Amino acid sequence: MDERLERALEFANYRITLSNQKRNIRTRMQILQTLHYSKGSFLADPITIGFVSALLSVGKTKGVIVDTKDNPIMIEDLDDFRANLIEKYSEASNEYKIQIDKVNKSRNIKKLMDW
Amino acid sequence: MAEESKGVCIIAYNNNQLDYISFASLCAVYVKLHMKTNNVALITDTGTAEWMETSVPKNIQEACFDQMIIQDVQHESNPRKHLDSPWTEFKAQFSNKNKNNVFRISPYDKTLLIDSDYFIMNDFYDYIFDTDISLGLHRDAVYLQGQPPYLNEIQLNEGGIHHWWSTAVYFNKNQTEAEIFFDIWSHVKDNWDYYALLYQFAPALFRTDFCVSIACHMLNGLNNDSFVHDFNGVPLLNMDQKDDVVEVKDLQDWILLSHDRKEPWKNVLTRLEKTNLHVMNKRAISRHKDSLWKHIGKVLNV
Repeated sequence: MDERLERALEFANYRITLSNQKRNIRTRMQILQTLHYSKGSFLADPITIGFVSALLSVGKTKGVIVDTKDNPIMIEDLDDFRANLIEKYSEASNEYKIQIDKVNKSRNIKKLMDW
Repeated sequence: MAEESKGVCIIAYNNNQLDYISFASLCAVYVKLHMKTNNVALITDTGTAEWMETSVPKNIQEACFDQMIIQDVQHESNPRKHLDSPWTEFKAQFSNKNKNNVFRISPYDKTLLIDSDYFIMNDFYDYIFDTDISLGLHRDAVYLQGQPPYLNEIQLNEGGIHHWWSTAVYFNKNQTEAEIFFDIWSHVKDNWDYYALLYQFAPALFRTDFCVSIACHMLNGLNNDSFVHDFNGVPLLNMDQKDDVVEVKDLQDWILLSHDRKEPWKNVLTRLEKTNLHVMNKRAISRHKDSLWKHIGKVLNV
């Protein structure tokens, strides 16, 4: 096979593998972002954190938040809830960064697999 | 009220092709290492238990299982076609007809039943033991490159009810709904041909996934309601029987080969870290058994 074609195919294969790796990492990040609190299930994302912060900023200390399953959940301590959301979000995003940095540095399939 | 007991159950019945007890031992260690609720009970029969005595060292058995429950059942013939990559095919007995008895047999109030080919590599399932949820199963699944399941793994037939997975079933014995679920499962099993006709699926192979799908459909009010907990919509990750394991780099770091369904000679390397994995290619587990035990040995000093 022509060397240029071989290199092009090798690069295409690398990109397929890389995009699959990134998708797996993103999926894992979404699972890590799930917070179980007061028998509800919440996504620790900027929107939820921002909304809870808005409630706190207008003086609310407790309130009903609709969880990811559309269940209304009474949160007795919004401050503690926000702290938990932020912790979950930080944990997930830090892990996400470590993993994405690792794959971005790997410029071929062998490096992606640590071979 | 006394605190509810919690734990994981694994069922393993060997056949002349597949050493399910060795898979179950590995999966039990994965539970021990990666979950906080990590009591593990093995449900097996006398023959398999005797084989374990000779094939699995005592200290490993003790590291894997907290309890062993012997249930000798008459396994009716249920031959299943297995694949090992797209190119190798074999048939083996599929002894799954007493899986529904776990509700009665499980020593735990709150139980997570997992298949003996389901490798738990993180603490995802721990949350459920601290909830009031009566019943939980995976409603959806994906394969290694994010491919959707095959049609009969999405719906029982083309216009049929949704397919649910019996690979990981959580239940709380103290809740009536869980008992009803297992009663329906048992009823479907006992009237398999009738339900195959009613729900329009091929009756040749008895599949517990179909039993739980019918039970979930009924418990969800004969529609797609959300009474049955679906593990927050997180899909089960399946490694196809046509996929393979290339290398186990570490206990939570596996390199796999994902085949292309249209052009099965093409494969994509996939690396998974800290991700729960349903390894459907059983022979792939057998091929990497020694490597897995080597890694486990380093962590557990056994």
